[in-house]
Amino acid sequence: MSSYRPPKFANRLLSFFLKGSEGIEKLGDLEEGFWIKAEEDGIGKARLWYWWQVITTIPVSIKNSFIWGGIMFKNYLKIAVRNIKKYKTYSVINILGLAVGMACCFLIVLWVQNELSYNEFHQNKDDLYRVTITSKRGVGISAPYALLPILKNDYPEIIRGTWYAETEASVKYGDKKFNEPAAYCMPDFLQMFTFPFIKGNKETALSSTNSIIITERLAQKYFGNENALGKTFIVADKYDLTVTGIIENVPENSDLQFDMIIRSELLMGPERLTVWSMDFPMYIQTVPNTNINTLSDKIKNLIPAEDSEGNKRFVAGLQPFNEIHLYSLDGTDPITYIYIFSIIAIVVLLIACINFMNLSTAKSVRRAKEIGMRKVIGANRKDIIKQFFGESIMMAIIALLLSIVIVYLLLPYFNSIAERQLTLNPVENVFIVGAMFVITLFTGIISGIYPAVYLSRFQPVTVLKNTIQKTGKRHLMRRSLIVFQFTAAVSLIICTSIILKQMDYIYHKDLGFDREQILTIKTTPEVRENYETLKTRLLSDPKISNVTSASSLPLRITNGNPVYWEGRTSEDYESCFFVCVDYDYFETFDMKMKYGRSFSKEFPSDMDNYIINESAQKMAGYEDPIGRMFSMWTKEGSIIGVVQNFNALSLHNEIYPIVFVLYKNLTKKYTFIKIKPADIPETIEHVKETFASVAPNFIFNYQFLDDQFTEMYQTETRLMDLLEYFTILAIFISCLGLLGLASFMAEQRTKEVAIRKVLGASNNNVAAILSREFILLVAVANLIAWPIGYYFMKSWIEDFTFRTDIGLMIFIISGGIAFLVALMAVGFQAYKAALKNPVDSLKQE
Amino acid sequence: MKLLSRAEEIILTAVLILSGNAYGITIREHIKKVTGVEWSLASIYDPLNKLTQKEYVKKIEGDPTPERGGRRKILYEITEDGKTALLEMKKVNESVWADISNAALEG
Repeated sequence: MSSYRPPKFANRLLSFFLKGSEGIEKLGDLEEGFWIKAEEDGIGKARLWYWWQVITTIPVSIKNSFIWGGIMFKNYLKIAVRNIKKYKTYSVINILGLAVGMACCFLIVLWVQNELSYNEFHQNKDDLYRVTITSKRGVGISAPYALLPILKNDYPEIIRGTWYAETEASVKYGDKKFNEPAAYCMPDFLQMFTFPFIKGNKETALSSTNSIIITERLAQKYFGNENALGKTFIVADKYDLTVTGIIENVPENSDLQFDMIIRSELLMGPERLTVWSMDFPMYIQTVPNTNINTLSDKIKNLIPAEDSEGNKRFVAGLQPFNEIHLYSLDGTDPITYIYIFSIIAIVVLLIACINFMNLSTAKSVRRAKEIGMRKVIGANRKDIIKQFFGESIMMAIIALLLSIVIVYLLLPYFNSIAERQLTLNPVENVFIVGAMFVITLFTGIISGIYPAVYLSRFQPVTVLKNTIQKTGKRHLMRRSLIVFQFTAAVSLIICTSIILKQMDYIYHKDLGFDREQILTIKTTPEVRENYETLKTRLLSDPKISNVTSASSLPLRITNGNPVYWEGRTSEDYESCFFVCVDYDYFETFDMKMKYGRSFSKEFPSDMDNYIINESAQKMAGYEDPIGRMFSMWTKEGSIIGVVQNFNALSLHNEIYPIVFVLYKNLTKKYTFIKIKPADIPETIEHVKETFASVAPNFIFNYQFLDDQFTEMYQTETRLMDLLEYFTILAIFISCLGLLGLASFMAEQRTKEVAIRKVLGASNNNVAAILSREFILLVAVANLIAWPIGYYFMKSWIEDFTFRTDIGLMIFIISGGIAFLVALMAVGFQAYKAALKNPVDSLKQE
Repeated sequence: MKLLSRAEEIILTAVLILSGNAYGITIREHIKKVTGVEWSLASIYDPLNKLTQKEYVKKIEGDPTPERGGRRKILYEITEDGKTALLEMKKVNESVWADISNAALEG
């Protein structure tokens, strides 16, 4: 008999479904039956019989365990609901905290999901690359014109390539005329990227420079319900372009945004397509599964320019198109923000979970008898753990419902800060439903785990005899959790304050030029041809103090060119940023000359002369620069002035050498008008009329220079705004928890307070005793948070070449804020307890 | 009083007859003997559970034996209520069958 055994697996299967004494009974019966069967019909049949018995027993067992589970579940639910009702304050604190924390997570999930969906709709996305150019000034995305034909013709791996430039162009049809966002591309563009055609032929739509492809939106705007195909627009005042295709509107989650596609040649002129200068980004498509590292190595040295040591000045590279949204090549990668905000959302949720843990363990004394009774009746530890997990998950589910409401309410604000059009649509977005489920479960489990383990440990004898001991260990856990909460909250306050301080520094920094009350108008060739007339007419208005123009904004001087000076040979050139300016440039922006003078009409030779900035002077090494030789575009002239350094780029960068030249008016596409502060709308109206009088086709649009300055720091401003809100939430939830705990403690110590008062303690004394512990904990949290905040923000702020000191004050103020809010939450409860009449507290027993 | 189901009736009589030695296996053997049909253990446990809930039988822990892999036996014993229910059942059966002769069925 001992050589045979009933099937082991069947046995295990059955014991999984049968619990406790029931299992012992049935397994025993089965085994006995097995031996009887084996003697009668042989071991093979006995095995079959055994299996059959197991299989037929399982459904019944499942049914029974469901019935019992259901009965217990009903009981747990009832107790949980009663507890929620009984301790209203704590329930509100818990649910509100959890709901806010979960809402933060949902918003971040929506946002991250949207960020990750960018550019995903392109079918060839895995084979598309952007050409990058690395020079000593960092990585740029403008590629040289001459590179495109070389890449396409000489490298079989590269099957397609196009320029891609986005800019606004005026579009005229009949009496409708507006500026519209345009993409300037080569014909390959349509095959490389997925922008589905509604009408027209994708293969041929862009084969002629007279073609234009428009989006549905644009077609609707200009032609209404008429058939747009074959209609002719006047684009940029000079090109007659025929509509050869209509595409679907470009999705929001595309980094390429435009309403029409026209040929690159219209922007750069066909003659430039063979030169080595760089203006626009270039995209290529490779054969599928090309090894991109090998290809990068092959193309990196294609650009001929070399420095004095014979190193390549510009190294070409390839950036996968999939990455262009999340990895910008300048400044902080957006993916960093995804990480930062994901972590912050989780921290906020954790803070809320800690509230739940602390409050449920704090009031555990009240549940102790219940747990004791359950254990006496026969619940084992597992059952108690199950019960408390059930309670925390139930809380999380209630919080989920509330958080969905919160998300709906907050989405519009969140969208306006994050500049997205996120929506919460559970029907379309299955992912968010899944995320909600996971986050709710996670919240329930995290917040339930400590109370469940802790409470289930109670020994029935101790709790029922009412000798439950307040061990120091429990307090240690609770204290550490509070310290964690406040460490997180204070760190967030520190980060926000430092960002605020740096942004304040940026907005108020003296850039070295005046940016107030200066109108910036981007002009068309039509305006530029009549520039002199325009300027004279504008200046006749007494409210306009200065008019000038230039080839780029003083905030964004980014065009580089080789320059030469005494002692520099042609092989040994340095490049220098340049800007073509009009007379009165330095006067309009109130830039100070360090040496010499600014351009003046009294000196006709100024057309060939140069003004440089201090950095350029340093680069040339001229001690006494005035009258020395300088040349660009092989045009030799002399330096007539040196302007003080000003910030011509974002404050992330240092100040690079810049050279200023007078040049043909046609290149100066920005006109700047300095106006006087009074009656600004009226002045602008007059400016508009004046423009109309010299250039009737021009669509007048203006911006203030200081607004354009603010726009440069959009990412940082957005980060700051979002962080601010998250910080407020974190501190709000932390204080909610503290408030709950403090009120609980005050209640616990009612008698102690009364006795202290009877013995002569003042209200202040009592309040101090009650709040002392919490205040100490917040102080400890501060000590931990300071280095953490410093560590994170140091690397952020070091991205800026021009930055404010972090300074100790920030830490003191951040700590002070946390302290004050905590004190308010705790102190209020403590005082309320202290004010109670000792007679009332002592009388009741 | 609600009548016993057929299965409950058969099992309860088995418990009564096997008095002192009624558990899954012996009940099953007894049923095989009197009805000639082999029941699965599951179809015994389910009515047994119901009978236990109705308090017609009670469980008594028996001794572990080696054939059971060292597991404890659960013996079932009929209660007074159970006997009353069986008596009731017997009366009902008798009155149901009273006027029916074998001849009537065979014809």
